Amino acid sequence: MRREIVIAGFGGQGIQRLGGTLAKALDNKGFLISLKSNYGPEARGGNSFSQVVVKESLEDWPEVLMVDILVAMSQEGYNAWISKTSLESKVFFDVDLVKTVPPSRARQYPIPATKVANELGSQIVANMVMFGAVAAVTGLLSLENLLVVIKKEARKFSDVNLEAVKEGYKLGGMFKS
Amino acid sequence: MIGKMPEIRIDQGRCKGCDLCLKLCPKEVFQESQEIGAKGFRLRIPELSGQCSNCGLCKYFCPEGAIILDSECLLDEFWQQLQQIKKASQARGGWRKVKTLHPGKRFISGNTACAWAALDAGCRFFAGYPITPASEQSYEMERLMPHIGGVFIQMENEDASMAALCGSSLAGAKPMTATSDPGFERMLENLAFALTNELPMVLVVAQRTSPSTGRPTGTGSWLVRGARWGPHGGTEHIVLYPSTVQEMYHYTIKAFNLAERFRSPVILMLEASNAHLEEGVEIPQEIEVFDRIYIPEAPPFGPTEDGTVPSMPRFGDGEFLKVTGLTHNERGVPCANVPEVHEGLVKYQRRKIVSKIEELTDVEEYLLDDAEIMIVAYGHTARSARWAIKEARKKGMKVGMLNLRTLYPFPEEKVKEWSKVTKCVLIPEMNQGQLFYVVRESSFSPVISLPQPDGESIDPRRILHFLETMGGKYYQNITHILPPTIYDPPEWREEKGEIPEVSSSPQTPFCPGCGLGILRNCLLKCIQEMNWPLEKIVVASGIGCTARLPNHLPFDSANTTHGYPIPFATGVKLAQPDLHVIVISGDGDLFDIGAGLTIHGARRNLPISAICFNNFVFGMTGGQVAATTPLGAVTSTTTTGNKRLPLDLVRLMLGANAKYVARCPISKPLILKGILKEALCFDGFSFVEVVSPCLMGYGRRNELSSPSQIWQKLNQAYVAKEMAQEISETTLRKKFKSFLPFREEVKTEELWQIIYGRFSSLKEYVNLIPEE
Repeated sequence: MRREIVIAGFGGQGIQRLGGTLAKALDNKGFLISLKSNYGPEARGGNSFSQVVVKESLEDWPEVLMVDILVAMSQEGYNAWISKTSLESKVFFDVDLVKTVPPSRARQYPIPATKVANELGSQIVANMVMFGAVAAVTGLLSLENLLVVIKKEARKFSDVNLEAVKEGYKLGGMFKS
Repeated sequence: MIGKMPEIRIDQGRCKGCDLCLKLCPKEVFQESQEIGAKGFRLRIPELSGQCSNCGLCKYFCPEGAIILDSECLLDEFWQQLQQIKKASQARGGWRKVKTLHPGKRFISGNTACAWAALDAGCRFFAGYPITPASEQSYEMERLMPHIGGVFIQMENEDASMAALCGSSLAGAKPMTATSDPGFERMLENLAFALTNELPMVLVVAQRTSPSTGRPTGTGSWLVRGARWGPHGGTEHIVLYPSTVQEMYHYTIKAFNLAERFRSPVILMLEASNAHLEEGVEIPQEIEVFDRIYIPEAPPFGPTEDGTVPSMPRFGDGEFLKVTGLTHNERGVPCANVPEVHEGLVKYQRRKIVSKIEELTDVEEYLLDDAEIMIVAYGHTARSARWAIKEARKKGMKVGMLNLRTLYPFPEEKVKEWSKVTKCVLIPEMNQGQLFYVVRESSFSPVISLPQPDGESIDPRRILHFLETMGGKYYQNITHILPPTIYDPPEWREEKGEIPEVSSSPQTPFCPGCGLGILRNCLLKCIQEMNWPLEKIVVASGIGCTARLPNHLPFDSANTTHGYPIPFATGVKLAQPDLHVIVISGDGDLFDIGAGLTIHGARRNLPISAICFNNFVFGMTGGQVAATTPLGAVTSTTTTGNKRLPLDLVRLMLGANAKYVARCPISKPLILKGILKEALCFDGFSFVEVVSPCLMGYGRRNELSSPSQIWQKLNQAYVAKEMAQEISETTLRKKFKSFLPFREEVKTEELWQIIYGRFSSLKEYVNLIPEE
């Protein structure tokens, strides 16, 4: 089934890293994936986004048409993409960064990613907390899948990243029940 | 002791009647005779040969090598030696199987897929200049090339990259570059050079939003016509247009194989939207690659009798390979004045590609069998169209797609075939409608353009919306139309008889008394003394009088584009480090148009010898002012005297960190020979400025009417390095109004061999540094 995932935030939050890690994890699991990131100074110092599309066939349209899963790590990112969500969409947002949440048809999941990351001692792993939560809620990836890909991608700082993703997975698990 | 007096003879066929022998022979052996020769001047004869002291100076100063002592002629010796060069004995090339570097399933971007595929296909030379969205290819190349014995070099601009590609291709490498629309347009001049010389190479163009800087991070397909019609000459070449990342891998390999098979540059078109897109790619364990065919002693250029691709030797094979951007014959010898050769050459180059159009046509016919509307799409847009077609089919609309994976040669027959059975052709494009015009030329049904010039990829829903609304209404009332046909006139040509045979010879086309002949004497003498094998020497030049000298040298040589001999030489040297690479070009070529490139050549410090023949003007084009024209000098474009200071080439090169820099007037041939020897043997970039004012372009207008007068003037202005160090600066300034002080550099760097000496014009107000 086609799934379209958008991760939006600002430069420095690890948006591209989250998109790339998610895409690689899904690719490892055997899905057909397209990953599109924005580019240039905007992506480093302004609004940043990453699109991950799970395709049905190799040559399918690789860009986002309708957002199934939105991960918003900034208010701007949330505002820019919320209009492209539908009734079945799942919207994850960082509660500390996205303050204004207008009523939407989509299912909303407030995740305290930055807060949890700070508690772990490193604010930059907020993206990995989000990663864990998204995986847990959507059931796209198991915790095992996540750990494998993070060990491979974040070799230098794998410990704190692994911890963050575990925390996130726990947070996501709470929504499931 | 008086040596044996030599037998002196003048080859009247070579003599052009300058006055150098009359004035320069210390013993005044040569005199004008009363007899007037076939060329209209009084013959020069060794009247007083009894006075000869056998000093041998005439061997150097006769520009044409017409003075023969004891039946020894330097030029003839070299040309005889050419016949005995050992040629590479074995033919090579053809298909072979190779293991890939990254087999298996990979998750990579379009750019990475291209770079990896290029390496798998045998690419071992990559020259590029950073530009979004193609830069990632450089990263991969820089990372991987050293591990597989290849070369990655970041050049100073795109044109230099392209010149380096030309050089490396001729030195035997499979080269590639990656760029975007603006960079591609800079490359065009050298691309046309590669096209006319049939040089295999691959250009990856990742397009962004044009025109100009446009939206550098946006996407688009703004170069679909430029890729074909950009290079002057409209030469037919192959343009491939992959769509997915998987296709990019396969089509890059295909591009290399086609480039090698057809001996032609192949352009691979990407778009920012798929160059940056990351997808899963399946890389095979083993692929088939083609290497260019070389057959010893076969002609290295077209046209071939049966229209097939000619053999391609490389520099150093001992084939005496002549390469030029001029119209050339099968041996690469310039024949710019023979219209039949030009027509034959360009027609052959077109036919080489067009005759194989059936094989080259690579299109996907997606759901076309029952289609009423045909979408013609390419690249990223083809994926958009595919989605739209799937959705439209669900709604009962009969839509199909012709996905053009080869854009050129344009798959005209396919468009004709399908447009006969469909009612309407729709072309969505990420530009203002470009391929639309091409399709319209061969379509039997109405063609509708659906452009989207905003720098974003086309949303499939936009195409769907069009199909649902506009499209249906538009074509219903239009009936049959016919595509235009091109009138192909029957052959007609005035009877002119046989095409003259042209081959490379020692006879130069230069004016009588020109210093270029003397430079050649010095260079050949120096190479003879060092005993270098001729097949290991490559001479590169640019455009201009000086640039024509290599055509009359007994080495492999290339007449590259204007200003680019140094990047070209860089490509040759990096691809085949065991060759001796010499650049001989004029001041206009190296320091007007090519100033930036020459500076970077010096900075890179590759073992290349650059000899700049400074004649003070643009000689061949009619004596226009150059960057080296002395202040106050009259030229054809400064009729009241040059008002700008000239560049000081020696200081410029010192500033660019050249490690060997020298200047010598042409009037000191023995010293020049010594300098050339040091420069050629120098391990690093060496630069020699040879001062020799152009007789026709400069001398005539500045009261120097004969070659011997120029020699006299140069000798007056000349100061040897050792002397310059002893004389005080003030004295020097007084003595030579145009002297420039370099003394400090000499003291700090012993390696630098600097010959001081500056030609000062006769005009009284000429002074490079104002008097204090």
